[in-house]
This record gives sequence, C-alpha cells and structure tokens, in this order.
Amino acid sequence: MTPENTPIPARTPEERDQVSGESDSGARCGGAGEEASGRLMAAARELAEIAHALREASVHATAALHEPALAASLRRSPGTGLRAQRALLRAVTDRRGLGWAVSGGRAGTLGAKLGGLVHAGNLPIRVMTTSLRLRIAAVVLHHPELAEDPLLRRLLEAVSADGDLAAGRALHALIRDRGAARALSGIAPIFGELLALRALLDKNPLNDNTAWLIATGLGAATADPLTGMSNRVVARLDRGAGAAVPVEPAPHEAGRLSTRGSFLDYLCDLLVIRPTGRALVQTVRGPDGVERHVVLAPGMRTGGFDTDSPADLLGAFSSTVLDSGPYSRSLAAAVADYGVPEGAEVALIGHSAGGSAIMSLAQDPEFNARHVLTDAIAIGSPIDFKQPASPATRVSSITNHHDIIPTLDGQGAGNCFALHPDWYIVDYTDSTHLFPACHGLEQYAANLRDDLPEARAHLEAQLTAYTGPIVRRRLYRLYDHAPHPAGFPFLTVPTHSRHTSEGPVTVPVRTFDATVFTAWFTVPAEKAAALLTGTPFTPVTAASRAIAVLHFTTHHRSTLDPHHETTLSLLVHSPLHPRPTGLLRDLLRAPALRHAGLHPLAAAVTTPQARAAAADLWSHPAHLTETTLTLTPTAVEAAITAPGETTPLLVLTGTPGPRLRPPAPRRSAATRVLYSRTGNTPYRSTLQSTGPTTTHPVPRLLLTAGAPEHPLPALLHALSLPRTRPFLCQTTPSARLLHHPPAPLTSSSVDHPLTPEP
Amino acid sequence: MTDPLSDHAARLASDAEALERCTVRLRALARRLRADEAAPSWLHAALDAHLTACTVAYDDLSTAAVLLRAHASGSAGPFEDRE
Repeated sequence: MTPENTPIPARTPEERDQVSGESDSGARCGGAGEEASGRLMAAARELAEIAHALREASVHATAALHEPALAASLRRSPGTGLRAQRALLRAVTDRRGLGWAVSGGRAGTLGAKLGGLVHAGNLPIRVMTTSLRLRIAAVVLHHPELAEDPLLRRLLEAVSADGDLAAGRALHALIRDRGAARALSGIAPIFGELLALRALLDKNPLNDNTAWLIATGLGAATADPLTGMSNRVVARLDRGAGAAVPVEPAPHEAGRLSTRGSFLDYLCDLLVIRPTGRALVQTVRGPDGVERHVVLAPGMRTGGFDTDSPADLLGAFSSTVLDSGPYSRSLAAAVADYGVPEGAEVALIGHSAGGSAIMSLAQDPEFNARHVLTDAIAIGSPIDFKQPASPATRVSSITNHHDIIPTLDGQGAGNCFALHPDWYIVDYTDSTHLFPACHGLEQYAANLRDDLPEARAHLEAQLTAYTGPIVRRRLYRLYDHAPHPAGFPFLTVPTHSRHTSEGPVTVPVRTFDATVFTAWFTVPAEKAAALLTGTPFTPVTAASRAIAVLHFTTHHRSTLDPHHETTLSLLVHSPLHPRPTGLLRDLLRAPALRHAGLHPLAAAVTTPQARAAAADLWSHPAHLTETTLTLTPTAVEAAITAPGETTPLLVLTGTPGPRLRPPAPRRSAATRVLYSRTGNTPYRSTLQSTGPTTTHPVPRLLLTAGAPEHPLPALLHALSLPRTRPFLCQTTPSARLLHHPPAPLTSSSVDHPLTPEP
Repeated sequence: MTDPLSDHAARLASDAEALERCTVRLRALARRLRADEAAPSWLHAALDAHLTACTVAYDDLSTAAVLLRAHASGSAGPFEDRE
C-alpha cells in the first residue's frame, strides 16, 4: 500500500496552510512570536523553581516548629525556646513574607488544609500562580484566539482571579455558547494550566498536591485536579494479568493491511485494525536482511467503562496513571505468543491509550531483558511521566495542541519544563481541528503525511531498519484476563474420539448453543408395549397410558456441525430392574440417578454427521430430513420433511400457552437418562443440559403426522399420534448440552467398565 | 547523635540562603521582563510583590535560624525577636 493509497484522509490545501508545527529537532516556525513565547516560558520555569524553593522552605520551617525536641527544650531554656518558637511561627505565618505557609507533615498538612478553607494565601502559591498565568500568556502568543475570543478571555480572567463562582460561570457560558466539544478544543492548549490554577486558588485543600505536581512537572497528577480524588484508587480497579488470543482479521481488513512496512504504513495498519481491543504484531525484513518486529497498539475501544478488554475506558485511565496495567501486560502476552525471539529488535507504536500502554511496556524491565526495544512512538498519548527501562530506546511523542488527551497527565502545550530533552517531540497546532476529531488517528496520520514534512522525514529515517517487506503478522484480541474456554465450566470435560461411518466424532458431544423444545404426550400403554416387543425395555405406564416425548433441538454451535435433531422417545423403566411400584421413589431421586429413562425410537437429523453419531454411537435409528423450527414465547412451528420433498412427515404448531412460572436459572444441570440397545444389550447414557427452561402445563399445540410410509410418521401412527395434542411442553431458548457416550448394562460391564476406543 | 534542633537550624539557614538566591533571581527576572514587550502588563506588579515578600521571608527565616541555633546551643542569642 503506497502512502497515497491509504486510509489516511486527504487534506485540502486550506487545511494544510493552517498547520504550524514545531519539534525539538530545532526546526521551528512562527518567527518572533515563537521567540517571545520561549522567553515567557523560560521566565515561567524560573518562577516555578522559585515557588518550589519557597515551598520547600515552608515545609522545613513547619517541621522545625513542630519538632518535639523544641517543645521539650522549653523547660530547660524557656526564654530562648519561646523566642525561637515565635520566630518560626512568624516565618510560616507572616502575611508580608511567606504568608500562611504551614505545610508538610501531619500538622503542617492539617494547617495547610485549614488555611485553604479560609483562603489564607501564601507566597509559594502566589509565585506558582504567576508562573501558570505566564505560561498561559506564552501559549496565547501561539493561539491569539485565546485572547481575542471574549468568552475565552473571560474564562482566563476568572480562573486567574480568586473566585470559583466566576470561573464556573465563565466556563458554563463558554459551553453553552460553543458546545462542549468546541469549548474543550478552545482551552485544550492551556487545559492543564487552567486546572492547576483553579486547583491552587480554590478552597478545596484536597487537590493542592495534584495542582503542585501539574504546575512543577515533578510527576503525573495522581489525583483529580478538581476534586482531589485519587486517580490511583480508580486506576487500580483495572485488574487482570492481561491476555492475548490470536484472531483472524476480517476479509476487508486483511485486504488493506500493508504488505510493506514503513512509518506511514504502520499508521495505516493501525487505522485498519481500529480501536477494537486488538493489537497487531508484525515481522519486517529490514534493508540489512535482518527481521525485526513491530507492535501496533490502537487507542481506547468505545463501549463500557470496564469491560473484558484492557483497552476500555478504565484501561485507558490506568495506562496513563499506572506503570503497568492489563493493556501493557496483554501486549507483552501477544509478543510472547507471537514468538518474538529473545534479543530481537522491537519497535512499539501506539495511539492514545495504546501509546500509554506501549510506554508502560517500555518501562517493563522483564520485557527489556528479553528484547531490544529500539523505538517507542506514541501518538496523542499522555506519556510525560513514563521513562523506558533502557536508555537506548528512542522515544517519540506526537501531540496536537488542541488534543486534550495528551494533557491528562497534567502536561500540555503550556508545559514549560524540558521533561525529556532526549525524546523526539512533535507538538503542533492545527486550528481547523476540534476535539475529539483532532485526537483521531486519522487526523494525526493526515497531519504527519501532509503537513509535518520534517517530522515525517525524521520518523521515517528513525524507522529505516523497520522498512521493508512484512514477512509475518498476527492479529490479537486483548483481554484483561485469559478468557475461559468455550462452554466453561459445564462443557469443559475430558473428551475422546469415537469412530462413526462419517468419520471420527469427539465425545461427549458438546453443544455450546442450542434451542430445545419438548412436547409430552400420553399414548395407549399396549401400543407402547407393542413397539418395545423384543427389546429389554418396558414402558412406564399409569392407568393404561404410557408417555411419549418429542424433543426438537436446534444445535446452533456444536462439536458436530450445526444441525436440527428431532427425537421420538418412550419413557421406560430401567432394563435391568423394571419396577413399576418403585417409580415414585425413582422420581424422588436426582435425575442422573434415576432408573427410568427415555428410549429413543427414532431420530430425524439434518446432517449425515449427526445421523452417523445417532446410529453408530447411541444405536437408535436416525433419518436424514429437513427441519424448520420457529420458537417464540407465543408460538411454536416445527415441520419435518424428507429431503427434497414438500409433504411434511410431521408438523407441530400452536402456542405453548401460559407458563408455570418464570424461567429460573438452574443451579445444576438437568439430566435426561437415555436407554438404547445394540442387539440384546441395553446401553445407558445421559444428556445433560443447562439453560433456563419454561414449563407450559396447558399447551395449545397440535401434532399432525404425515403418511405412514416413512418410518417416522409410521411410529407416530403406531402410537396413535396421527393428530393429537401434548399435555405438557417445555422450552429452553438457549441451552448448553453435554451428550455422553453410552455404557453397556451387562454383568460383565460391572467388572469391566467400558473403555474408549483407541 | 545529632541534635535535632541544630539540624533544623542548619536547614533553616540553608533555606534562608536559598531564599536570598530566589530574591536575586526575581530581581533579575523583573528587570529582564520589564524590557520585554511580550511580557503581560500585570506581570511587573506581581513580580514586585513577590520580590518584596521574598525579602521579608528571607529576614524571617534568617532570624528563626539564628534564634533556633542559639537555643540549641543553650546560649541566649544577640537578637531580640521583633514585634
């Protein structure tokens, strides 16, 4: 894929003219305004350093004032002690000097909070406030709209003044006039400074420490700058060891992934896989013939605060605040699964939350011990307080002034500190882009391709070793925790293979998703007994009636191919000890322990594989048919026809009728005992099912059998069921089924339990 | 075992020197920015206020350091606390 034929959107000439970029490579644009801004930023940095020194002095003076030895020494030398104590108190409370500067330690922190509540000012905060206002002034030189726009100007003035109410009103007016998106875009270049200013000047003492971190650039904001609530407490809710499962790209994605790797090609591949909770690992053969590996991590996946994806909102939050989280750990899992060799060179490229995650991975000493991390490129990501474990890793950060996301760690366009002089930083402005549009990878990619030629050239040169044909790639879906196997725990059972005429079948047969409808009929006892003549089975009867059951099952996802299965069974006693008088006691047993069970007379299935399994494994006649089953809460329609025929073999239609009670989740699986035979040897198997089952005691359904030429309707006619109504029906719209292979019921099987065929 | 009061006194003296340096920096900063057209108009008054406060803070800390050191050594200091 050439850079010109990419998912990166085209830019109009007007849009290109409105981009001004700068990078720490030294190439700058903007002329005199740039220099003036630099001077103001340098002054702001000095003021921040002075404010920090004043604060340190306040902390030390407070500590001295509260030194227990001082109080203890007053008895020895009360005169000098009291004078020293008064001088210390004066130092931290003199309105003309440090002001109410009690801080540090328990007593100091309490004192500072009390002072904050009553709005007692102090010199360190006043100096830091001046630094922040000066940074805003420096940014305004780049963004004159901040001063020219009356609403923005009003907000800036209110924030800098000593009034929460005025600032709130000004912000409300801005949002009401512009909408939230445009309002955020407008203040994005000074977002961090505004937050810090507000936090320093408001009456909330809980956010002062966060404000100081933002203002001094000493660390990431560990708490919310407005409320003071700890970010780390929230971030730690994001739990999980991280996992990565290989998946195939959709056909339209596979067709658009690059066949050749370069900086822009990797951005295109990120656009192809989109923020969908997946990551891409690729191997590229460089110009020197060496194979290197690239990991691409997209941004936050929308939909849900805390899902099973590490790239959800909570994951994006934790990636910013914490040094390691499920997202970075799942990327490590993807690299491990891919089989990147030890000592191989790796480059990481991430956008938004993906950029924070790759930087967390870059900090991981274990990852760096296994691989040589040459490059970490983060686009639109808050990474100012992340530091790669290897000093040899080249870090590049690309951010748009109007993008709020990179400022979430407290540092944005108004940052006056050279936090990472060794990083390659592209921090540019594009007045045509509004947040959140400017945060999109499409916009960043378009800007890099068309508007920032120097940055593009630099990054392309930096990734020269990763430029060449893609020789291998794997797409991974990322998870907070390793996903359970399908059907866990009910369907996670030991399995083995059994031979059938249509090939091997894994038993027990597991169905991960099925719809089941069961209709119960009474039939003449003598008709049932006649059908069972010559078999070891005796029908369960009461008042000259026996029980016949029709099960309609749609196996949507199964270890067999998807198919329909309809089974006609009779309720029979245990073939070993038929005890009609023990039936009541049998009903009181757990289903799996009952002696009575169902004997399938015939089955209608829709695939040869299912027919072979029914006949060869469970030894009951099975016929290949075509089946339709429609099941809703108010209607049932089932029809079975022979292949290619239109005349139905049987039809069941009507309404299930009122429910006995609402479906309740089972605490254990339901078990159906099944009896079959091979020759004179009876076999017993069980079919277990889970899923909410609804019982309908008065169904209004009609079963109609077709002509008796076919074995299935012939059985219905033999049981006097040519046209009849069930006395009971049950529906299970979503079930999981576990059909165990049969075990012979012979005296020899007592000493020699059935063993699986090799 | 070091005397905690002496340690505090030494730290206060060091902080006072740091504040003196801050005062020098503020003075140089104010002078530099007064000649800079790009500096916002409100800045000069703010810097002057900070300079004055910093000077007072330096005096307060220096006095506290001396008095604390005198108390720690067990002798009366030559300074009287100012009201």
